[in-house]
Order: sequence, then structure tokens, then C-alpha cells
Amino acid sequence: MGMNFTQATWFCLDVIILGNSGVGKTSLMNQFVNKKFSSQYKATIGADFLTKEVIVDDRVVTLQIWDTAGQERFQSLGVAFYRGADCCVLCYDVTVNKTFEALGSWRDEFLIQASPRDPDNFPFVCLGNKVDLDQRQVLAQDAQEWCESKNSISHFETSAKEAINVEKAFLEISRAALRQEAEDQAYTNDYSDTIKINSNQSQPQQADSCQC
Amino acid sequence: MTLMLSNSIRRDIVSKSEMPVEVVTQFALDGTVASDNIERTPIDGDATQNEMHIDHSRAITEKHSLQTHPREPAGQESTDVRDTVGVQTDTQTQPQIEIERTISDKRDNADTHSPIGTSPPTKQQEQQCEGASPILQPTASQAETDGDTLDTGCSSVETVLSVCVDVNWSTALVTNTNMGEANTHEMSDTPHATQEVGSVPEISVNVNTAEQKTSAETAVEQTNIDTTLTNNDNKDEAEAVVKETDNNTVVPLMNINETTHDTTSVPAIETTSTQQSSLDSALNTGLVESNADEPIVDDVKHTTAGEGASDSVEATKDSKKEVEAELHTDETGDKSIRQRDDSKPVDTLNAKGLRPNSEEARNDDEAGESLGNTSSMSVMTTVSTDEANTFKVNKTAKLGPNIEATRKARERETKWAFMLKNWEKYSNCKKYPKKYEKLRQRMYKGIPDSMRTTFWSKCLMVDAQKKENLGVYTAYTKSLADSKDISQIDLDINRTFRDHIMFKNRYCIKQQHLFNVLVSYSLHNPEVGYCQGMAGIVAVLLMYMGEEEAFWGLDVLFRNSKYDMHNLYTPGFPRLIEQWALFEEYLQGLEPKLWHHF
Repeated sequence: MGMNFTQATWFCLDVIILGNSGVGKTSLMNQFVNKKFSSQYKATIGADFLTKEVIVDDRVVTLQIWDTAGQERFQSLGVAFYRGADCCVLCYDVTVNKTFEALGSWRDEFLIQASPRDPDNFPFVCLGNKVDLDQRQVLAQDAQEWCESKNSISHFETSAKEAINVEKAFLEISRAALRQEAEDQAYTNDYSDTIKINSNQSQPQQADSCQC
Repeated sequence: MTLMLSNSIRRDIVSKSEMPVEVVTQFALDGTVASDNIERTPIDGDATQNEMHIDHSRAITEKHSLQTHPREPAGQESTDVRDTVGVQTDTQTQPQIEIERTISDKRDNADTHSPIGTSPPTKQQEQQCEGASPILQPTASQAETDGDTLDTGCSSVETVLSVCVDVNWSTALVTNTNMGEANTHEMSDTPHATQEVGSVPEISVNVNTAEQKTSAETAVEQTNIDTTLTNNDNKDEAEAVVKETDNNTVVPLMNINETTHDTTSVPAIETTSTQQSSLDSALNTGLVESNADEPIVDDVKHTTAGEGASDSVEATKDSKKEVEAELHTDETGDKSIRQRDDSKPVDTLNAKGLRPNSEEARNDDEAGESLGNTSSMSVMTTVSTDEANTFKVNKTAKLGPNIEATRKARERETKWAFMLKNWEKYSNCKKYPKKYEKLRQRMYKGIPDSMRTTFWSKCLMVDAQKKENLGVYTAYTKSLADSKDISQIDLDINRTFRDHIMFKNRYCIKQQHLFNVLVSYSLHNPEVGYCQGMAGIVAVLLMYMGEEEAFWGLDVLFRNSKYDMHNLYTPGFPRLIEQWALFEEYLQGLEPKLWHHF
């Protein structure tokens, strides 16, 4: 699971997508990675993942995107996927209010299960999907407000079908994940110097990513 | 004119469907399975049939678009591990032998058969669909609906039907408070759809071409069907159809036979195989190769003489004798088993080598179907013609093996039919260990598509369950709204086997069955309720069984200790975790290097 190949020049970022069943998690992931949309995705059972290399701030990173099953029952299996994530994407369907209301519990659940070092500053990105449909129930403003209230999570309204904002959202996700990963590494470096025996290779990278 | 033509096609199909019903009745010991097929309501039949008309064409175009779908242009690293967990199984991917295809198609149509025939709408339809040729409307309007807008673009009759047939579903959804409004939106497409009713006339042109193709495939069969029909009404119908179709079809067939020796001899062969399949059934029903046999063999000889395939014709004859021999000897003892054992390696080899080829055949078959059924989609029609042509070209190269495959498939079917007829013996491993072993071995080679309905029902003890729990399922279907899983089920039906003919259209009859079975089961087994992944299992069952049969089949799969899927799906997934651990243990033992990698 979420293995990090933290070599000098290569970041592998774990991103996990959460949200109610049927909001379009799989579709978003496939639109971003494969640039394709199908109205016939099957329900995700357990979890699924795709990887993609992206360039964020002149740095090549590999995004490992974990797509999870939306049904509540599968959350018991989710722990394994939650842990080690660098960014958590919360998805809802703008045409179904219920899916938006569930975001809070998805966020809490993630924080409990993944138990990140600094829960308040852990990067979340919130995506309101299916804006191509007419029957909107969740106003952009409400969503924006909610995101502000949760330590200003970035918010995007997307359409996996029409490829609206998907690229932009995932760029932000990559950025947030990269920041988190860098911080994690800095943290690890601070407290585990002794492990680094052969440090000449990774030296410049660490200097780069260390914020102190 | 349009109505008449299409009706004749429909009758065509219905009479075609007589064959498998006959066969199944023959081999189902208690006859229940076969009669269940017949008992389906006419509405059911009409809906499925209409859907099949369009779906064939869509299946083709979308199959092709799907094939290219998941791959990423080079340079980008992408991994898709979805299928490792997926429960979804064979129907799309598993190549099937041409003959299986034809028979299964027929079986599907058999489902739709009703004693009333197809043209007059049932009472229910008359009340709710306001009469007026409900047959053609959906075809026209659905064909116009784009495949991409599946969810929102419900077509007229589909919607009407969903409203009228599945009162349960809609009311259940509406009464369920958890339900998002998206679903009710979908239901309310009716007024929009009724506008499209006017598009019927478009069909006429295409139906003409359509008929030629379908009848080309069926006309040959008709001669056989005539002899096997027992129902007088249908016999009349079938005869009428033969008269109608003969004019259209005999000529093209003759042309093909005489003008094309090498390159395009496929169509002739194809029809031959179709015919032989029905012949096979005739053989089973006791009407062994009478008048209809001679022309076929001639066809084969004629068209394949240049390729030295006449051997296989001989072989076909031989195999028939062999099969017959088995039919006789098997009843007396196990002699035949030893005989048959010799041929086994050949069997498997062929089956392996020929699969892809036969899939082409199947595609071709589908293309043909779509030609017959697409109606107003002229673009689609041309596309499928092109496809059909390319397939034919491909097929000619592998002509010999194709015949061989067909022969094997027929042989296998006969064997299975015999085993199912003598199920008591073959399933009794203590009293008849050899017979049981035979069954087991044949199972590994694959159960012929046409035999799955009966075989699965027997394995899952569906009939016994049904008898034991008379009325239980019906009671569940009346209280669907009680289930708390209803909205999740509805969401998942929307994405279960949507590229399969039977589940393609939102609120189509099989989707309704799927919904009913899943919701009923969530009431029946509240500990499991509904878990994602179950829809796939039920859908596969539904491809071969009726609603109630699938329900009890599912119950056996879940509760019988032999299958014990119950703990695979209960919250916490105890059995899944157990199997996971077991898998890791095996992996560590067998592939330590790989295991360390994780």
C-alpha cells in the first residue's frame, strides 16, 4: 500500500479520493488520468488506484490516486488506504444535497483513521462534481463557506464528463500533496537522522525541501 | 407497412424462439425451468425484445469504443487494477462459440414468448401505455437517443414502461426519504419522450434491409422449426413467415453459394451452422436429420471444397453418429465414457485455439442482428455493415477451424443436454462416481451457454427452494420500500453491466428485476442487507434465470455452507479478511520474492 519511494528527485504522492457513493470519484480520477469519460463505470468495490506523472512547480512527481468505494460498509477496509495519504480529496455531487452534507463526516472519518501528524493543517481539497447537470442542489457559495470554515480547504466545482476544472483541481491537489510530503520529510529528517547513513545523494534535495 | 414488416420480424423471432424452449423442456427433468421461461409476462417480453433490437447495435459500437478506452497514450504511466477486485464476469469478455451465441439469443427471445403472441398489447399495456403500437415507438425513439445520455435521456416507452410496469420501484424510490431527486427527474422524462412517437415512419426503409438480413439467418431454420413446432398457432405463424421470408432470402443465399467460393463463403457457412444448431436440437428432440440435413451438407461441401474442408463435413457426420451412439450406450452403462475419453485432448486443444475466432463469429452475428433491428439509425446500420464485412474477411482466413469449433460446440451441447436429462445419476457422486467425474471434467471445459439456465438452477437447487418458500419472494416485492439499502441499490443498478444487452437501458425490465431481487434480498437477509458487488452476482444470475429463480439462487449462494458468500459481504467482511490472510500466506510460501515486494 501507500509506499513512498522518497528518492532525491522523485516524489510519489498518495492522494485519496473520498465521498458518497455515486458522486463521480472514479470518473474524476479517470478524467484526470486517462482524459476519458464513460457513463458506464461500475461501482468501485474496495478500492482502486491509478498513477500519473505530473509536473508541479518544475518538479516531476508521481501521483498515486486512490479511488475508494463510496458505500459506508467499505470504510472498515479503508484504514489501510487512508494511512500515508498526502492529500485527501473530498467529493460531492452538486445535484444531491445529501452528498454535500456528508463531507463533514468523511473528513472526520479520514482524520481519525489516517491520524496525520497535524490534523488541522492536513491538506484537503473539496470537489463539487457534475456541474454539467441542470438540477443543482448545492450552491457554490454554500460549499465555499463550508470550506472556509474548515481551515480554508480549496474548493472546485468540476465536471468529470465535460472535463471542467478537473485539470486545475488536480494541479492544486498535487501542490497540496507535495507540500504535505515535503513537510513530512522534513519532519522525518528532524527526528531520524541516524537512519541516513549514505546521505551524499539526498543532500541537495533535503536542503531544498526543508523550510527552516 | 412498417407495422406489418416489423411484426413479421417479430414473429420470426418468436417462432425462432420455439426451438430452445423445446429443447429446454426436453431436458429439464421437472420441466419447471422451461415453463418458467414461457410464463414471463408479455410486457416483459416486449420490453426485452425492443431493447434487444437497439442494444445489439449499441453493443457493437460501444464495444468498439470501449476496447480502445482504458489505454493511455505512450509515455504516461497508468495502472488500472480495477478488475482484480471486480466480481463482474464473463458475458462481455468471454469469447463464445458462434453456435452458443445463436442459441442463447434464441433463448433470450424464448423468454419473450407469450401464448398471446407479441403483437396485441396486454391489458396492462393497453391501460397504461395507451395502445398505439408500443412496439415500434421505443425502437424509434431509443435509437435516436444518444448512448451517452443514458441516464437522463430515457426513451419514451422505456419510461412509460418503467412507470407502468414497475410501480413498485418508482413508489419505493419516492417514498424512501433518502432518495436524491435525481431519480425522480429521470422518471419524469415521459412528456419529452412522447414527442418522439411521431418518428415511426423512418423505420420502414431500414426494416426492409433489416428483414433481408434477419431472414437470411432465420429462413433456413424455419424449415426445421416447422417440424418441431408443437403449438398450432405458432406453426401457422412460422409457416407464414417462411413464405414471406423465402422470397427475400433464398435468392441472396443462392448467390452467395454460387458466386463465392473462397472469399465470401462465410455467410453460407454461417447459416449452415445456425441450421445445424437447430438440427442438433432436432436430433435431441428425436427428429433426427430428416429432410433438412441434405442441403446443409451440400452447402458446406460446395463452399469449402476448395479448402479441403470436406473432411470436417465427414467429421461432422461422424460426430453425429458418435453422439447418437452415446445417447444409446450411456443409458445402459458407462461404456461410452471410455470411448469419449480418447477424444478429450483434441477437444481442449480446439477449444483453446478457436476461441478468438469464434468471438469474431459472434460479433459478426451481432452485427447481423443489429442490421435486422436498428431501425431508424441509418448511420449505425452502415457502420455495422462495414463491421460485418471486415469480420467476414477475417473469418475466411480461418474457415476450417471455425467449422470445427461449431461442431465441437454442438457436440458439447448434446453431451450436456444428456447429462442434464440424467441429472440424478450424474450429480450423485456416491452411486455413480464415474458419471459424476465426467460431469466435473466437462464443467472445466465450460458449460455451454444454452445449458447454463438448467444447470445453474439444478446446482443452486432453485426449484426446491422456490417450492419450499412459496409466495415468500412475492411478499418481499410488495414491501420493497422497507429496505434501507434502496438508494444504494438504485445507484448501483445504474452502473451494473450497462454495456450488456439486458441491462443497457435505465429501468429496462432486467434492471427492474435486478432492483427487485436485490431489495428483496436485503429484506430477506438483513445481516448482509446490500453490499456493493452483489449487484454483479445477481445480474449474472439474471442473465440466465428469472427474477424469483435468481433470488433463491442468490440465497443458496449466500447461505449454503458450500458457497458461504454471506460472510464475504457482511459488515467487517470477515470471510474476505480471512481469505486475504490466506492469500498472503500462500503468496509468502509460493512466491516469497513477490511477497517481500509488498
